[in-house]
Amino acid sequence: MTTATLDKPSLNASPASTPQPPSAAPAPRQPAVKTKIVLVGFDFGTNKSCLLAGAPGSTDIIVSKVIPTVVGYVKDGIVDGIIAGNARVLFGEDALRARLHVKMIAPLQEGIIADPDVARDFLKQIRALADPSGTAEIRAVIGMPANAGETARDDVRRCAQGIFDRVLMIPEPFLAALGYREDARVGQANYVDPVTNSLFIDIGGGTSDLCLVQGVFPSHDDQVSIPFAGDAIDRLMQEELDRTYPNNGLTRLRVREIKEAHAYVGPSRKPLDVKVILSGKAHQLELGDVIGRACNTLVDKIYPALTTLIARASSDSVVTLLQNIIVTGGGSQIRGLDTVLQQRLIADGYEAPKVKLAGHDFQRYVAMGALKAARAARENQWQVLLD
Amino acid sequence: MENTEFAAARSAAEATLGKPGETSATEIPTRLQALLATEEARVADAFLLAEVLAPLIAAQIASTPAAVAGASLAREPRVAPAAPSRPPVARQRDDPAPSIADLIDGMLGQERRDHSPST
Repeated sequence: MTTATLDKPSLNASPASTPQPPSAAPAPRQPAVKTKIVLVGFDFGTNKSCLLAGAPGSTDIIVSKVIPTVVGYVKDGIVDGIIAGNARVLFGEDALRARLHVKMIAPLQEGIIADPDVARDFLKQIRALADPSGTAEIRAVIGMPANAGETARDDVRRCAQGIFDRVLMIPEPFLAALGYREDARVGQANYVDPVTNSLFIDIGGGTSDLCLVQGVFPSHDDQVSIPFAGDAIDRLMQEELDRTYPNNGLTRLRVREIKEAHAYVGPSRKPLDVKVILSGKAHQLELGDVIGRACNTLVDKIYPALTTLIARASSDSVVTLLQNIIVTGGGSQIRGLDTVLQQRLIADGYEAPKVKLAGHDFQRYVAMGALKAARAARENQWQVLLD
Repeated sequence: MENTEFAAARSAAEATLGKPGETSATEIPTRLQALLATEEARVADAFLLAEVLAPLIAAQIASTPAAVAGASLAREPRVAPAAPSRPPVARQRDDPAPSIADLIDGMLGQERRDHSPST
């Protein structure tokens, strides 16, 4: 039975009202009647995912969650009661809290699915959060890295089969622009609609995605995805820490926590003393240069892509565009990133550029844009996933 | 078939009239009508589905080399192609406030172009 039949009301007639022959063989399986639709905006991030859900025809958001993109499979031999409800699989924060007792696996690497089975488990949890009843038809707009290839998109579709009913996959920086857009202000004289003319820089865990958004759907040439983002900074920091402080015992997770607390770009902020616990004892490590070098590498990676995309803008639009360069995603929390990018643009002669940080909702803009897209999508634009 | 097997089955069902515990005379036409309506709807749906899928499947088979067709079908997720959407709206880059649905049309149009065989 295909989900394509869901559109046809005649097949959704209540089976109870259909007379059955008195001694017929078992009736053919009827399609599950899905009584409601839940729209999902989903930012499937390498390190953190964001889920927003709502009903069609409404602007209300019924579910809003940011979830670490990790699945924890409880190790064998764990005593009953250690894990709440003796669950065998944990997700997100629950998995991180139980890190001693679970095997933690990240379903994504560099923005694309690395472990399909784990990704499916994660998506099932997303579905359960969006629709606890399990009876709704789920229509999900899923963020993808800019210029994600067909294989990456197929992987997402395959993992979502039987979990979501309909999907649309849209590049993340474009969704960020949609999410960042203040719909109530569109059309006001003093409001520059980011969807009309902006350049979005979405720095996540696995990829940094840049996208020129100018009132039409961005072409491939309007988007750049760089496989250097938060995880790569963590890796660089850990490598340098291992050289400077051999046997430091810091895990990648702890390094990430240090980065999230102290990340910066620009001139050295040395001394930057960070307290760490090694072998049970507190130590102060001077990490100013370690953090600065790793984070400045990010600037070196994204700046050429930024200028490439600026060069694509027409002379009519580029002046306004330069006023509307927006950094979002976890990378927007790196101190000084807006200033450093802006200064480099000025130093290279660009006309009065202005680089802005997306602000406190930086983790949600992609999902917000995805939910807006889900609400606006026409029936024939959804891709129906068959069981 | 309607005049032979179905008519015979109908006569046999009606012959049970009046037997204890069997369906009353007034219920039989109602139930037959309901059954027929259900089956008609099922057949109509099957036709509709066939009309949509047959040309698409035919086109895919025609464009897929026989040697790789099996592997390709096994690898790709099963997706019902979206119904043909209206052509993407041509927009000037200075046209304000584009509708999201039009932007999605632009994306889908781009995807179709990406997948169309190169000439």
